Amino acid sequence: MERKTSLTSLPRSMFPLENAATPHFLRHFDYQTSDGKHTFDESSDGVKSVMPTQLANSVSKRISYRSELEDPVPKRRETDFEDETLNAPTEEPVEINTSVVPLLNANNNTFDIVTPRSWRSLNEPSLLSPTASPRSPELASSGDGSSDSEENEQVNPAILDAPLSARAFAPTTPNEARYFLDIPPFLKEYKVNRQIKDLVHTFEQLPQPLHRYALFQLLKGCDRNTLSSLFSIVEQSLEFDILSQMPAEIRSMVLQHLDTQSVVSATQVCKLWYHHIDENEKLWKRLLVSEQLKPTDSDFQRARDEGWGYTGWTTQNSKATSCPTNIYGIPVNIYKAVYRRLSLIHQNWMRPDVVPRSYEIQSPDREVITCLDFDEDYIIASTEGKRHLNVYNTQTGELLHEFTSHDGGVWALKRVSKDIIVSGSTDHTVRVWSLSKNRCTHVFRGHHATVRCLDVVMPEEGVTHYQFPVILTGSRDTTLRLWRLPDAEDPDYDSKLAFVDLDNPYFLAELRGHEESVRAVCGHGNVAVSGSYDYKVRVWDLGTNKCRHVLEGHENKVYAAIIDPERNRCISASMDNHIKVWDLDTGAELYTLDGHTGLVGLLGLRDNILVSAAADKTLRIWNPESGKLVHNLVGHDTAILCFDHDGRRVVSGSERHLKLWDTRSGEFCRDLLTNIEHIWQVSFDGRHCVAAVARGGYSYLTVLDFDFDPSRVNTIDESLPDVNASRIVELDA
Amino acid sequence: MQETVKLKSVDGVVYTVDRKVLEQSVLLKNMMTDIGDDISEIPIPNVQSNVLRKVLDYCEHHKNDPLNAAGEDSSNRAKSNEISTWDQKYLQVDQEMLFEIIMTANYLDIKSLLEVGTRAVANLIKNKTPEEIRKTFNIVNDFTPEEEAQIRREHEWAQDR
Repeated sequence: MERKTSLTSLPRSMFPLENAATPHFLRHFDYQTSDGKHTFDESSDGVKSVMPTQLANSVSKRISYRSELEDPVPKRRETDFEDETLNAPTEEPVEINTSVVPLLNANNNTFDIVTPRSWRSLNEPSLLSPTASPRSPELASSGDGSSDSEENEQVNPAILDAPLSARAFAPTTPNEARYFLDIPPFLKEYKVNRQIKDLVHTFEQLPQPLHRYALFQLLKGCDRNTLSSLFSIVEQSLEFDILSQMPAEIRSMVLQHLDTQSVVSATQVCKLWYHHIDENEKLWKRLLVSEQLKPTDSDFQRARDEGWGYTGWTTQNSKATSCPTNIYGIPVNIYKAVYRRLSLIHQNWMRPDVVPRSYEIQSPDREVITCLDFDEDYIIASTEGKRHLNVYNTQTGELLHEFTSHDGGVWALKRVSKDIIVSGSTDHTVRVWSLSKNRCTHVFRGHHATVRCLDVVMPEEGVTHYQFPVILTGSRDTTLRLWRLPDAEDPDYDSKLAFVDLDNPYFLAELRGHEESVRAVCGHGNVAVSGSYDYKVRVWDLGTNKCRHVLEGHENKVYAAIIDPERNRCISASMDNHIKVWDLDTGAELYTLDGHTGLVGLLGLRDNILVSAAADKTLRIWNPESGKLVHNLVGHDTAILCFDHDGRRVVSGSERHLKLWDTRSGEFCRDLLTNIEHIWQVSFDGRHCVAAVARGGYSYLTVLDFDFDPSRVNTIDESLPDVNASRIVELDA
Repeated sequence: MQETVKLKSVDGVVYTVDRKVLEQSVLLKNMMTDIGDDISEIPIPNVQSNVLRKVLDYCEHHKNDPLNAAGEDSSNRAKSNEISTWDQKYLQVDQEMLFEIIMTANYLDIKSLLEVGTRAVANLIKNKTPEEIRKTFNIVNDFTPEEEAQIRREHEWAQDR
């Protein structure tokens, strides 16, 4: 019989749980019912308490029985069938009046499934009073009967699992055929329903803690397909709103793992989730950081003053009349409002079709703009010409200060605070300026040549030797000098004569060692590094003011030297086309970053991203940890003259272009300026980009502003009247 | 000092576990330190035996992981942003179990498990549409069409990025 052959050849694993060991937690456990404490123990043959002894017995018997079977596949249908039809019960059904459900006769090696009701009971129409046969099915009890050829036949698993209608029980084995022949269809259905009802009833009467164990035993007899279909039903039924059920702090932990798009999606799931997410300040604070949107204090100030919400757009001049709310009238989450705003500004940056608002500050003649720095309030630019240091209002371009006391061009500039600027000049002096006092407050003399580079090292309590800010200057006279930054309330001071270091209360030290011009200096903590045209980098100890290491390796002039405080390294760039990474403690050369084919003049390290710019028309993005090249930014057609980067964007200038790149992808985004003839400096923050350029015989500071309503986008097609034209600030010649 | 400690779940199943394994739980570690050798059996209220077993599996697997003094290794693991292959497989459980694992990790103060558990829930949410998320967690959309439209407007900034 073909059918039979194919069925008996089924692999044993068709019943995956058949031989599964009982999980530890089902073997022995305590539980409590209304009548006291109980301990269930599978191995000790029962429950150490009153009630479910029979279950335990039956279960243990079942296990022993099945382990003896050659063919352990249960044969329920045959059992039922023969029990019912051939071996009609000899005992009367009895009413169950206790919670004890006799599942089977423990003395027989029989199946531990619920005994179906007897034939006779089928005639009883009422199902209200649960009855069951107190005896076990006898047919399979002989033990050796299992070797009977008929009994070896498997029940088609699909039938066991099929809907409970007579139709589903198409006979597939001789046993079943007899079954179907002998019993009228309506009775069959009735009987099966009845059996199941009894089974369920028995189950329900078990103490709840025993349910797991009982079900596990039932599942042992289930084939793969049954388990699979049950599994998906069960698994789906266990799906629930985990997030809302969690304590708030754990929910917050989950949300911390989501990116912005997923957060936005989750906000729109249901009201509860909307509240979970919309009101979670920590979440939006974290997204601001992870998306590198870099909010400033003034962003939050503006958000409060202007009333930034989740829709609409306010400008710097608008004043909030009431606190904006979300759709349920709850005040907006300020971090989310700031996130939205900064995100939209960022999109304005990156979209090539969005033309930024812009204005220009024109210089009277073509002066070289040597240094540039700005924040949301001031733009500070120094020139080689007679107006050495100019301060403008960032919003309007209005000239606020004109500092002219240097006798030469300013080639080094550093803002220390909102109020204080330090500059170094070709006139050999270092000067300190106060914006609030509108004058130069301190003049330090001592260098014998142009002050080419400077840095200000801020103190760290308990870390730095000097507990005040230190000005570090590098000069063409081959030395570095250290100066104490004057306090705000210090009287003005000018060390009128050269060679009066001892008289100058601000002079700290002179660092000698380089043999050529010092081109770059950088300080952090107790360390200063300097790069020189003598091809060497020196590491200095601030405090002892001794040279700690002379880093030799470059084969040409060093143009840039920066400190990587996180890894305790320094990085230098040279005319020899190489970048080198050094260990500050040992002075060892760690990496040489190869790739550039021209002078590498500029380095920038921020947010774990190192960017270099070279005369070979390219910029390169490096992993500062490994020294590996991440991206090569190719697109400029002349040497790179300046760049700035914030970990997310790179803006780079060459003779004809100002270009924007995506730091993460390394992709070119757009040209920010194209109509220029030269560019000296560029600097940007979240909202503005300021470039010092030359065009048509004049020098300009071009200010691009990306903070405007993107829904009223200045696309290239529609030129708005205020773009480029109306806000040019003319300076007197 | 005894090498092992007995833990008893709320449903009365007793597990005998190495002290070292349990030290990943800040709660149990402190308890063992405070009470010392007198511990015969620590009852773990609210935790069912199958969940406790599952959590102990985790502790057993990670018993040799380096632990920072204050159990602050979670921040380091958080940076790595990845769930290890073993942990991934470990967390392939139904949502009820996942929830119970997280709650137990929180109660027993097992930081790294709480970390990967919450990460696994986050992974169920990630890169899905609102409707897909609802389906995942059996959630009914209770927004009115007007609210839905308003919320979409509130998040227009996040479109097409």
